[in-house]
Amino acid sequence: MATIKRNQIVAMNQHYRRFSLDYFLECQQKVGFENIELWCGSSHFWLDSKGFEPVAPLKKKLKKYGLKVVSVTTPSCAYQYQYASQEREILNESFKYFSNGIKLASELGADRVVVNSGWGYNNENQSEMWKRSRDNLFNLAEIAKKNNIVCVMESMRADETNIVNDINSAKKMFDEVKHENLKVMVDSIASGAAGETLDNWFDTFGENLIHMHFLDGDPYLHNVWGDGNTPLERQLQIMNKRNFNGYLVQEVADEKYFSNPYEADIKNMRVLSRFIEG
Amino acid sequence: MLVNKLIGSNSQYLRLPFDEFIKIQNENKVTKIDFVAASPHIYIDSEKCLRVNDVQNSMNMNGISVYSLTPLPYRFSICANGGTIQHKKTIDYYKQCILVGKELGSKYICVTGSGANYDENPEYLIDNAIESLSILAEYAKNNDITVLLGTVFGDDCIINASTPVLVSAADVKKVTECVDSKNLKVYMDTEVISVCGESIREWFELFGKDIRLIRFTDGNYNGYRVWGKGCLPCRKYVDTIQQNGYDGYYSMQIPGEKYFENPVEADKENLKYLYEIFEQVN
Repeated sequence: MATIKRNQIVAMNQHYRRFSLDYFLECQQKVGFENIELWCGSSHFWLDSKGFEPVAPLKKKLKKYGLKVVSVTTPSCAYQYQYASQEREILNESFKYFSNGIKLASELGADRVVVNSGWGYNNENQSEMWKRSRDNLFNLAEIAKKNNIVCVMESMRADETNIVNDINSAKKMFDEVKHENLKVMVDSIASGAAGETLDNWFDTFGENLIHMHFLDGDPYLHNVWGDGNTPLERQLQIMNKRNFNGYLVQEVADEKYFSNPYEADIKNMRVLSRFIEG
Repeated sequence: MLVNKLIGSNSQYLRLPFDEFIKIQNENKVTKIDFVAASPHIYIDSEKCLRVNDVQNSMNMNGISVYSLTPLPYRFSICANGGTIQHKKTIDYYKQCILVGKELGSKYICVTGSGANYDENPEYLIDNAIESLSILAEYAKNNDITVLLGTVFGDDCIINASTPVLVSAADVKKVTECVDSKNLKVYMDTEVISVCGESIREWFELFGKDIRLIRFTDGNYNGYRVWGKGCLPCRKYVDTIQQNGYDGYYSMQIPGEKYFENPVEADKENLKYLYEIFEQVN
């Protein structure tokens, strides 16, 4: 029998970007989530290269709704910042920004932040962009070490990045950064789009695979479970067989859910709850 | 010549260096741009800007100038509640953008009401926008620049909707009348107004000469397209615009990532279509 523990299923606020943080938190409590991966975007929580807003009010709200932040995603690409910024001055700002994301995670009591390789110009020399991304990830892992945080690196789709966009480039980056505070995660949309399986990722990274953005891809869209083409029970069987107890973050990022994210969450949990233990 | 009223934009070139974009504009004989002030071409936050000189030098060397500046809204929103960090950062960000616009010689800076929360009272959101734009118009006045307010997609374009307010000409009219500043005018986006069922004629009836820029693109319910790839009647739109006495510029900015992979081809295709139509009108 394939199962998941309730506290493994982690909500995310990205698809609530058109709504307030309070509305998101209230909905998560109603849906039955216990843990969240905080996406520091829109009006929800301010974080930039200068710093971040005080965490005490956020902690108070989390307590009110019985929720815990277990992981932080500092938005990349959508804003001014990304992990492999092409221009030196912007790369400096990006580094400060992502460092602040790590410090925020520490203050919130989370133990991990999600990172990616960033991207280079379409016409850029591959080794230049690779080196910039690798060095920046290493430097961020150093900041993470000082803050008792682990960076978990995801791959992205080939239309999103020309650096780490499949399992081979992820392995190469992981090996070259070679830092105890850089681990790996599966983004099931990116891996699905690249034609890779969960077994491929477990075989390649073993116990260094500690986190997932776990969605029902088709395989390209960040769908809630039940809206895509992924055999859920089969995925859970693989995880159970591999003794994977990491977080399964519901990064519901497809725009079709942005107008009514609560409804999407209810439908999603309806499917996932069929496999919750106990 | 109407074709001389076409202005380029780097919006679809954000995956290429700025110099490359400028080179292509030169080849396309485009001399003015609607500059999307966004990373990686330039960096602007609530406290500072970076790479302004690089952008200026690149344009100077190629005889290209900025006509209008479009800052990406990122996570800023003119509809944010006063007293919040988002509101403060938004005002400071757009002030920086005004300074960058001035430095680059831009006449206009384009803003929208994107980023407002759907679970907040729409009347409050409009009030917030009036407050923000009053501050920004005054700041723009002191810097000899004009803020242009335009609409963005609402619920008629579900995947691109970004705000529940300022998605209609009526909202824009209300806000501009309340702010009542010579330094707050409007721009009209053919794709956005068409998707929500508004017409060019209605916009001219409401705003007349206050329409200072037209973002002139094709599109459909899923977003922007180069001309010939969407559902909008190019010739009819040009005729209507001309009949209403508009003598300003037509921006070829195409927001979104649809043409990131091959912006050069997209630009050429767009220009070819527009040249054909514009020459017929001439």
